This record gives sequence, structure tokens and C-alpha cells, in this order.
Amino acid sequence: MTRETEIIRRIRQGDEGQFESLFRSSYISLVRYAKSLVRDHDTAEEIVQDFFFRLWQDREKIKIDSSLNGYLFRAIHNRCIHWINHNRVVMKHATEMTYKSTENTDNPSDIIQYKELQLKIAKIIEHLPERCGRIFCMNRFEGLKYAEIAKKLSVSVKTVEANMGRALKEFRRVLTEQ
Amino acid sequence: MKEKMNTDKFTDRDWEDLASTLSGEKEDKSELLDRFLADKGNITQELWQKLGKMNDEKEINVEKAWDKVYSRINESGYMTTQTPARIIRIRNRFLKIAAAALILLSLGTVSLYFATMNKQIVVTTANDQKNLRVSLPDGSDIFLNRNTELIYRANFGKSGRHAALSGEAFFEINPDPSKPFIVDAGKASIEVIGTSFNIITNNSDSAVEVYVETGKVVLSDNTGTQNIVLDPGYVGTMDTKFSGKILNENPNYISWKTGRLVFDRQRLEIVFKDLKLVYDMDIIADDPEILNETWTSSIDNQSQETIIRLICASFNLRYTQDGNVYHLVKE
Repeated sequence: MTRETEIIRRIRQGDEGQFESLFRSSYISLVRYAKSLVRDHDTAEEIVQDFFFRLWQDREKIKIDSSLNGYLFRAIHNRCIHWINHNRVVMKHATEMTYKSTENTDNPSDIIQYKELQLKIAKIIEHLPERCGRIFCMNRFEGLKYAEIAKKLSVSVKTVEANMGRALKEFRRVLTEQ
Repeated sequence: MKEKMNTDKFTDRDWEDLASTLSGEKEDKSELLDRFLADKGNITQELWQKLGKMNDEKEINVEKAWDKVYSRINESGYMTTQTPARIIRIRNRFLKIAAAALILLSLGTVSLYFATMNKQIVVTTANDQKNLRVSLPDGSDIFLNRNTELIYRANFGKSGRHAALSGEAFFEINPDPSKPFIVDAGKASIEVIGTSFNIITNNSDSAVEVYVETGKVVLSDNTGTQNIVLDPGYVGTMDTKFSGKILNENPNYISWKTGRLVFDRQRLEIVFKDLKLVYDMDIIADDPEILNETWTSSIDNQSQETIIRLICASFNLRYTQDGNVYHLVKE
């Protein structure tokens, strides 16, 4: 039995400790990802918190086809899109923000393309194996250096490097696919 | 596939170097990076680096966020009352209260008060479930061993800190001098201010055993005539006929919770018993000579496979496995 199915099994059975540690280990990454989509910090936190609340309520119905990490990102992604669709006004703001952050690309079509690409991040993470996705999130979303990740997960820096390389490869593949 | 062609231009090693460069871990390998950027890599680079920069934005307080989610769950009653693994039962001593509740129910408003203020929260662990953590509203944590039941009130901490235990549990109690934490353990009650300790009380007829890890614990019988003050490292026992305390010499007393076992020239027979309790492993040796061997080793949350291999390597044994049951035979 792999670790992630064990985690899900325990949460389904009502293991609060396991639920709490899942929350603690993924919260920052999920909020940062949600924030990149909804462009508002408090909204991002609310979305993620609400997701975890519902996850616990409906834990017996959890069904995961991808990795656990991929599942979490997909769920947050869907909730953010849902939120955006109900908050068109904020969308305008989001476009402006995106424009600001991509000042070096002057071409408007690039900006639109860029927004679409951002929406693909959940897909990328879904495609990564569990550990690879975790390492990617710890580095990109939580801002941990390779050495810090290696220490936290009790693996070598070499392993972190290899997994980050793999993540980048997937990143590139999904971003360029039509 | 089209995208396969793109990724094939770089070796796995290249991807590692590129990831290190884009993440700011390593010096720029400019030739490789140029090649990557030239091949529509600029968008990838930008998005990759932008994700990394999000850390500089507003700090995220995980602790606070968890508190919010946790209290929301608790308010809705989902955390402790509707899980399939835990059976909700009302113990005998609470039947009276339950009966009282039924009578009050017919009185309307009074019952509502009763239900919200005095709701019993019962957490029960099954035979195959151990180390279940129960976090109380005052910040204290209680870890339940197998077949254990913990009861506390929904308004825990409001007027006092009371809980009832049957089975075995390890308590980590947050200090609050104004509200002592009191555990009703059948034949004895345990009173503390802020400390960590382990209680074993298997049924209402058995003696109550308390091991103190930190702080001071007062162990009393139900009449209040016998009191034992326990300091860290001591095990106190309270029964109707006798009471007493001794210094604990068993390094594995709370291993069921920590997952750490220490064996110092310990007979394998005892080792196997401990492994059964802590790791759920049934180790069977057909040759009784094996059981008399002694072992010196320490185990810290290792997998069953690692443990059985360690044992086999130490005594030149082989094993066959059937679920959690391991048969040992001599090589």
C-alpha cells in the first residue's frame, strides 16, 4: 500500500490527526495557487479553508484518480474557476494584475495566452507522481530551497534535483501542448 | 507526438540543470538555458519563476487557518460524532443522564438547553485503530490506544476541564492553573494542571495505572481518602485494596504512542510481544530456542518489513509472511 492511499484510507475512517497533517502540509501551496487564480489573498485562503471543511464532511466519498496532491490542486482549481465565474468584476482586476506581472511581454495576445497557461498548473501537478508534485510545491509555492526540502523529506538533494527536473519537463510539456 | 519531440531535445540531466537554474539553485548554464528559451521556453521560465516569487507576498498563517477550519468542523459536530470508525455509545454511568434527557425532551425549551450545553462527545477506537489524536478546545491533545473510549462534554473548558476514560490514552495537557484537568478513570481520578501522562484503565473493575512523563499528577481514589502524588518517571497504581508508586524501568512504556522501542539484551519473546502491541505484528517462531535469544536494538517508526529483516539478519533467520503474521525459521 502506498503512503497516499494509506492517508486517504485513514481520513475516510475519520483520523483527525492525518487530516490535520494533510492540511498543514498542503495549505500554503494551495493558497498560493488559488491566489494566482483569484488574485485576492483573503479569498484564496477562504476557498482553501472551505474546501478542507467540505473534504472532511464528505470524506467517505473521496475518490482519487490522480495523485493525492494532484487531487487537491484540481479541487482548488475548480473552486477558483467557479468563484471567478461568479465574480466577473474581479476578473477585470485579475487581467490587470496579470498584465502588470507580464510587463516585459508587450504583446496582448501573449497576455491572454499567459492567463490560459496559468490555468494549466493544476493539470501539470495532476500528472506528476506524488513525491515529485510535493517537491515541486515545496519549492515553487512554499519557497523552500532544495537543501531544505531534502532535509524535510529525508531524501538527498540529488533526489530533489531529479524530481524538480522531472517537474520542469512536465511543466514545459503541458504548457506547450495545444 | 508533437510535444514529445520538444521534450526529447533535452536529456533528464538537462532538465535537472534547467530546473536548478530557473529555481535559482545553481549558476546559469547559459548555453543550455539559451537553447531552452529559444525553443518557446520563455513562457515556461516566466511562469515558473513567477510562482516562486509569490512567497514574497503576504505571509500565510497555517496555524490560524487550521484553527478556523477546526472550529468550523467542531461547531458542525462532524469532527467527533459522525465517523464510521468510531462507534458512539453511551456508557452505563451516562445512561442516567440520557434518561433524564428523555424526560426533559418533553419539556421543550429545557431540553434544548440540555442538548447544547451538556452534549456528551464520545470518541471510541476500534481494535485495529491506535494513536487516534483528539484535540480538545483548550489546546490539550489526547492520544487514544486501541479499544479505548474517551468522553467529554461539548462545552469542555467553559466551566472546568473534565473527561472520562476507559482503556489507555496518553494525555498532553495545556497548563491552566485556574482550571485543573480531571480525568475520571473508573476506580480513580487523576488531577493535573498542565503535564503529560499515560493512563491505563481497562474496565471499571481493574486497577488504574498512571505513568507521568512531565509535570506533576495527583492520583486519587473515588472516596478521596487515598492520594498519590506522582513525579515524572513514576508509575502509580490505584485499586480498591492497594495503591502505590514505583519508578518506571520499562523504556517502552509509551511506545504504542511514540512508535519507538528500545531493547537492551531483551529476550525475543518479550520483543515480539512489544512489536505486537506497537506495530501490530504477529511474529511466530516454531523453534522455542529462537524465543530465548536476546536482542539489543532500537526501532523508531520503521516498517514491518524493515523490522522483520533486522531480526532475521541478527539471528540468521528466514521469514515467511501472511498479512501481519510472520513465521520465523532457521536458515
